[in-house]
Amino acid sequence: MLAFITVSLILVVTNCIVAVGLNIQLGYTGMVNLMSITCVAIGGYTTLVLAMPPATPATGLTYVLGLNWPFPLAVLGGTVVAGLFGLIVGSVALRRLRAHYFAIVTFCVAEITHQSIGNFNPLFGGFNGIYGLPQPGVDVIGYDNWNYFYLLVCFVILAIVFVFAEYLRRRPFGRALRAIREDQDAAQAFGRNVYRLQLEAFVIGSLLAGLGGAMLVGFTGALDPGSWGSPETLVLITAIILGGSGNNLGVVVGMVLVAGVITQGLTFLPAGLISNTLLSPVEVMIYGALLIVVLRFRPEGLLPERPPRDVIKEPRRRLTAPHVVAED
Amino acid sequence: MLLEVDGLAKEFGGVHAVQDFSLSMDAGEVVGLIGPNGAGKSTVITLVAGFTRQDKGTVRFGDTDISHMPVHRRARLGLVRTFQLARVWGRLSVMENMLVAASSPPRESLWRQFTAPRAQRAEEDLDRERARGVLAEFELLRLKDEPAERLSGGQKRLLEFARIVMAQPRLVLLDEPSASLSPAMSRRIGESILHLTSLGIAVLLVEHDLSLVEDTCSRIVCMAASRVIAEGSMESLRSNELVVQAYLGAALEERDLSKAAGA
Repeated sequence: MLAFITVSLILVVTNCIVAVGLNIQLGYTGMVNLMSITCVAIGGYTTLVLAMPPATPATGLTYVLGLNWPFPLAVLGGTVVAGLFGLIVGSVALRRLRAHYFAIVTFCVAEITHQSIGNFNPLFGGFNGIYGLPQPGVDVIGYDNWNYFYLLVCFVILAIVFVFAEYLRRRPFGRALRAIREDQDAAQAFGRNVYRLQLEAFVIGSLLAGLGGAMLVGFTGALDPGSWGSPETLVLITAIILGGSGNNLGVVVGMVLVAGVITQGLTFLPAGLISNTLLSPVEVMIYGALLIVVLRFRPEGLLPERPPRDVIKEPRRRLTAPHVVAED
Repeated sequence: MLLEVDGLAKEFGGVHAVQDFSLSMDAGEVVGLIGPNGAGKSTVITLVAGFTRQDKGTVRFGDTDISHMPVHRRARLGLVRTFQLARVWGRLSVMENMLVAASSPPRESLWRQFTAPRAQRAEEDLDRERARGVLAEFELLRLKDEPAERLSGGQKRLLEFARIVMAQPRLVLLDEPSASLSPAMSRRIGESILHLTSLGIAVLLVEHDLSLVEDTCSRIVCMAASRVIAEGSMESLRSNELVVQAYLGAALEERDLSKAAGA
């Protein structure tokens, strides 16, 4: 049971890293990004091909590179490449597109990438994917405690990511992003370079998605197109909306409920109630229904975003006349 | 000269929205822009603010040719606009609305969030204090922690004016600030416009409430059917046959009727 919980938690925590990143895009800035999972995959694949030895016919695998990098370096590489991917797509898609069109573009990019990677074997092994990455650090930690060790590492990374995202939210940068979400035109009218701010938020989110993907493959040791498609996008969006879009704690709670309680809970159903082949379709249906119910009855989510209070630090004399820049 | 618009023209799908529009404004001046619906007044605002690009003509602001400048860069030079519907950042608190208006893009740069948090915090504290003063003047201080979306229509308008005070632009383009507000609130808007001018902010006012225009503007431009048809004081416009025919006749009649109904 403890082993089961540990494994579940690793999946939840890596998903949380991705969700916090998506929250910066969707929650703070209001960008409906439907290709977050694509950045997860790119981060994961890149990490695999950087950390694994070159593909040989003997293994039956095909993939590029195979550089035998140490795992932490490969994670960094995966994160950066996912961020670059976000930068390229974002710099084109955000230039003139408003919310709905942006969502459609990201959806199309996600599908195109999914089909391309799935059908082009030399890159990342096509639909067979890549597998066989040894558990990072297992030679030091040993097999017995490796899961706990890896959970701890993931948890520390999530903590850092969480503090980073929360810091940005409370700073003027995060406030500008939220202003863009509320009214892009008014933000522009007050001198905000909407394109630039959106692009920065988009790249940060893509980096974090890549980081989540990299940590995920460190655990699974494998990745194939079957594990990152539109159902996984639905999981991410549902977790964010359920927990509370814009609220980082809410997003983590949402992910624990969705990827933890619901997904893992389904495996405890009495045998024979739902046949194994139907398990994952039912899962997707539950997420979809849950998303609709939340949007209908509590669109702000379980833990809604709250604007920070203005705390008066010390009683000081109020300025009565605002300063004006004199016209010369 | 603060603003110099020369020969501005814009077509939408073959329909002339604005033709040959020229206007000069001095620093601190309040100019009214009136005319019947569809005359092209709002298009002038969107063109000068940069939300749409003109087909012809130039816009100079201060010493700079801003004809092809994106909106946010015009705003940074001190040219701000409002919209026909009050547009506040709804899920930001009233105070946050003020701070966004006051803070500059450098303060929000991603890099500076990490390199200069102290300096940033000091700037923010100064702005907060100033914002509290401005909010008090607009009777919004007790609402400072409320999400702006909870404000009434009139309060949202006032918050817009308070934001402009925070942003300290050189020119603000007001697009029908009294639209859909009560007469009492309309007077309040008039006071707010004078408040802006007392701070040295020039105002270009598009408005249908002619008494509001008369009370605040020293010079009035009248448009009809995409062109400027007259310019001058309200007095001179009243005696202008063209203006009375195109706009004032109907507008004054309506105003007299509503006055009679009110009395």
